[in-house]
Amino acid sequence: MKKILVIEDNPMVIKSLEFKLTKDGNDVMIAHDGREAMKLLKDNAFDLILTDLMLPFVTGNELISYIKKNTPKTPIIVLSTSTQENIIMDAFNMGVDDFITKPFSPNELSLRVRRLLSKN
Amino acid sequence: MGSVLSQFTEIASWLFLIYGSIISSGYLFTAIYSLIEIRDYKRRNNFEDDIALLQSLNLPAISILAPAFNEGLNIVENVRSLLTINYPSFEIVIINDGSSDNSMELLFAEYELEKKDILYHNFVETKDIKGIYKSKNKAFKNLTVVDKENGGKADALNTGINICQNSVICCIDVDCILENDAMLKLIKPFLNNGNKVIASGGVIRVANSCVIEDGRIIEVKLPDSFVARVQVLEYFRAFLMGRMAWSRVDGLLLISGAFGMFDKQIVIEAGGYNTNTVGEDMELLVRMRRMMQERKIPYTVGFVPDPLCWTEVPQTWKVLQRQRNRWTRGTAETLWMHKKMMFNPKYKILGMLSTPFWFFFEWLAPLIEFTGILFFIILFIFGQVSWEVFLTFFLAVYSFAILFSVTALFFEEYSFQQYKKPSYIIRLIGTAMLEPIIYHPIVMWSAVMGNFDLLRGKNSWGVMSRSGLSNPSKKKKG
Amino acid sequence: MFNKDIFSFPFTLDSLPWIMKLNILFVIFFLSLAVIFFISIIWIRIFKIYRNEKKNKQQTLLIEFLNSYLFDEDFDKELEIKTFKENHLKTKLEIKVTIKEILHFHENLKGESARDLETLFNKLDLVEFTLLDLDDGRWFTTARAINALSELSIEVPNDKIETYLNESRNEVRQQSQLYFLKLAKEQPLKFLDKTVRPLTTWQQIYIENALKNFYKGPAPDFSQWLYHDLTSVVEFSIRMIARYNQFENIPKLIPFLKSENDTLKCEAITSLTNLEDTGLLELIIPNFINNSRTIKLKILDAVEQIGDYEDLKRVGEQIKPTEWELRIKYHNIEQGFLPEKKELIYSQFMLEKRSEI
Repeated sequence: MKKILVIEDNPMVIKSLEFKLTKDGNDVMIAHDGREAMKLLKDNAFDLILTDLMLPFVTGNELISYIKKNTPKTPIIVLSTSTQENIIMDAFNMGVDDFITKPFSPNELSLRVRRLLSKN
Repeated sequence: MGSVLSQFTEIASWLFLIYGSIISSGYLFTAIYSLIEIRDYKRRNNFEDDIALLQSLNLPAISILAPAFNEGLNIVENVRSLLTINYPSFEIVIINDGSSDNSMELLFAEYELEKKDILYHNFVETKDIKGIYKSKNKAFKNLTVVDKENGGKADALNTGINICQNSVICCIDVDCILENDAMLKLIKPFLNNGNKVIASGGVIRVANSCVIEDGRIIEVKLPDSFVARVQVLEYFRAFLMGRMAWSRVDGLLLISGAFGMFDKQIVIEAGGYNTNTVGEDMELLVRMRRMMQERKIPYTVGFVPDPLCWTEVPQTWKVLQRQRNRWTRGTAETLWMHKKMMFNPKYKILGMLSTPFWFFFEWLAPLIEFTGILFFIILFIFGQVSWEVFLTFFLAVYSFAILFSVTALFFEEYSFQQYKKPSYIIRLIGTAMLEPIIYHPIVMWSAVMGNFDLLRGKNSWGVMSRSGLSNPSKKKKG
Repeated sequence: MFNKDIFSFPFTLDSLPWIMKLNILFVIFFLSLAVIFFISIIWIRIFKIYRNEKKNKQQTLLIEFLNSYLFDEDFDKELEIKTFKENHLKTKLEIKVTIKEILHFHENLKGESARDLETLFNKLDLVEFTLLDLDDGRWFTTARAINALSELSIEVPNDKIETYLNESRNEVRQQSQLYFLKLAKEQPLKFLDKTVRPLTTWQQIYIENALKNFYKGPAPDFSQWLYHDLTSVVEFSIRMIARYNQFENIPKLIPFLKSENDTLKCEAITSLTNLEDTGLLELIIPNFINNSRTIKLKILDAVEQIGDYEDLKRVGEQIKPTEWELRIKYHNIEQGFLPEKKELIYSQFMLEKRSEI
C-alpha cells in the first residue's frame, strides 16, 4: 500500500480524490492547507504528494521547495487551476514531476499517479 | 425675557425637528436603496465559476501595497497570509515607513531578502527611499519590500505607487486580514462594467475577539469589549446600509484606507495620496472623481458588499476618541479642499447629493447635536425645560437610533450572517439599546473636539501632527 | 426643579401639545418598525438554521452518492439512482441542492466522469426542473437555469434561449451566450452576429474559457467579426486570432494598427506581437512618437518580445525626457537585452535622474 498526501482546500475535490485514490488501493492522507501539510510532512513519509498551488497559510511554491529540500525523492504532482505558462514552468523548474490542471479527469489522474508510483 | 425665550424655543424646536426629519428620511432612503443593491448583488453572484477566472490571461495583474510602521509583532505572519492570496497574478509591496522596531530585520530573515537595483521614478513626490529588496527564494518572488524614511501613511502609499509594477493597485493596511478571494471579488467591478472603473472598495469587518491564526480568520466571534461591539453595529450601518446605497446611485465619496483597489494611472494623474490631510483615503477618491468629472470622461466606482477584509478596531475609549477626532478632521479637511463641488450641478450626484450629505449629516450632525445640548442646558438654567416635551423628544430620537441599528442588523442577517451564534443577536440588540446613551455621546464629543482641534491648528494645516501607523485606530467608516 | 406638570400624569392624548403628540407618534412608529425587524431577524435566523441543516444533510448524502456513482465499480447504479430519486428528491430545496452539487462536481471534473454526471442529471429527471426554472420569469432563476443547461450540455429548442441574448440583465445575456457556445458542434460564436450589447471584459473571459475548455469542434475564423458593429466584439476577435494562432489573418489585422480607437490598436499590436509578425515593428516604430501613452507602452512590449536592441534604440530616440514611465520601461527592456550591462544601465539612469531634478 502506497502512502499519498493530498493537499487541497476544495472539499469536493478532496472527497473525490480521497475516494478515487483509496479505491485504487492507496493509503490517502489529507491536508486542507499548507500548514497542516507541513505538520503531516514532518511526521510521515509519503510515496507521493498531490498538491494545489493556491493554499491557505503556505504557498504551494513554498511547500514544493520545502518537500524538495527534505525528501527530494518523493514525487510531486501539482493539481491546479492555473493554465498560465509561467506558473507551470515555475513549478517544473522547482522539481515537480507532473502538472494536472483543473477541471481534471479522475481516471487520467489515477493513471499518472500509478505511473509515478511504479517508477520509484 | 420669557416671551423672547419661548419664541426662540419655538423656532429652535422647529429647526431641530426639520433637521431630524430630513436626516431620518435620508436614512430611510439609504436603507431602501441598499436593500435593493444587496439583493441584486446576491442574485448576481448566485452561480460563479472561479476556475474560468483563475485561468484567464485577461485578469489584470495587481500590486498590493501595504504600508507598515512598527508592525514587527505580526508582520511576518501578515505578509505570509498576503502571499497566499487566491489570485493568478499579483505582487506584494510592503513599504516600511521608517519603522523604529525590528520589522526590517524580521522580514530580512524570514523572506531571505536581498537588495535589488530597481528603476523607478517619483511620479508622486515622496520621502527618500533607503532601499528596495526582493527575496532570493523563488517561492517569494512576488514580494517586494521597500525601506524608506518615515513620512506617514499617505507618503508610504505614494512610494508604493511609484515603485509597483502593475496598473491596478490595491491599498491595504498590513495588519488587516483579507479573505482568500478578496482580490477576485474586488477586481470584478473593473471587468464587468461598460464605463471605466477608477476604483472599487469593499466592506470592512471588525476582527476583535475573532479567532485568528497566521493571518487568517478561523472563527468569527462577537467582540468581548463593549466599545468594539458597538463598532460592529456601526460598521454594519456604514457599509451594509450607507455605502451600499451610495454605490447604487454612484455617489461614493470614500473607500476605506484599509482596503481599496484603484486604477494606478488615474491615481498618479490625480496626484497620489495627499500627505497634508489626516483623511487621505477620502480625499484621494474625491480628487480622483473630481478630476474625471472635470475631464468629462464617463467613469464609475465599484463597491463589493462581501465581508472581505477584517480589521482590529479601537477597544478603549481613549483610542476611539482619538480615531473619531481624526475622522472628523479628515472629513472637514476634504470637504474644505473640495468645497467648490458642493451644490455644483457640474459634479452631478457628487455635487448635488454626496458632498452636501457629507457636509450636513456627517460633519454637521455632531455639531448640531452639541448645539442642541447647549440649548437644552440654557433652557434648564432659565428653568424653561418642559420635561414632558423633552422626554418624548428624547424617546423619539432614542427609538429611531434603535430602529436604525436593528435595520442594519437585519441587513446583515439577510445578506451574509457572519455572526452565527444565536446569542450574538441578543447581545447585539442589547448593545444597540445601550449605544445611544453610553457610546454615542463620547463619539459626538470627539467629533466636536476634532473640529475644535482643526480650528486651533489652522495655521499649521500642512504640518498637522500625525498619529502615525502604529496607532491601531486608523480605519475609517462612512 | 421639575416642572410640576410632570406629576399630573396620566393625561389624555388630546390635552398634550402638538409637539408631544408628534413625538409620541414617532416613538410608536419607530419602535413598532424596530420590533417588526427584530421579529424578521429571528425568523430569518430560524429559517436559515433549518434550511442549512437540510442543505448539509443533502450535501453529505450527495458527496457520498456522487463519488460512489463515479468511482465505485460495485455500485448498482440503476437501483441506487432509483432509490435516491424516490427518497431524496422530494422537496424543492433537495432538488436545488442536488443540481448545485452536480454542477459543482462537473465544474471540477472532466473526461468520462463529466459525461457520467451528465447522464446522471438526466436519469434523476433534473432536466425537467431546470426547464421549469427557465420559464420562471425572474431573471436570476432564468440565468441559473441556462447556466445548468449549458454546463451539462443539455439541448433545448434554440429560440427558447435566443430571446435572452440581448436581455437587459447582463448576467442573463452572459449565460445565454455561454449556452450557445458550449452546445455548439461547429460555429460556436454564431451568437455574436445577433449580439447588439457590448461585451464586458468579464464576459470575454468566460467566452474564451468556454471556447477553450468546452467547445470541441474546429476553431472559427475569427476574422469574420473584425467589422462587427461593437468595438468589444472586434477587440475580442483580434485577441482570439492570436490565441488561436490564425496566421492567415495577419493581413486583416494590419489595418487596425492605424485605428483611431486605442483599444483596438492596442489589441492589434498585442496580437501581432504574439503571432510574431515580422513586419509589425517596421509599421509601428517609425511612428512611435505620435501615439498615446498606452500605445507607446504596448509598442515597447512588442519590441521586448519580438525585437532586438537596434529596434529598442530606434524607439528610445523618440522618448521624451519627461516620459518617465516609458524611460523606465525602456531601460528595463535594455537590461533584458544586455544582461551584462545591467548595473551600468542602472547607475546611468540614477545619474540622469539626479541631474534632471
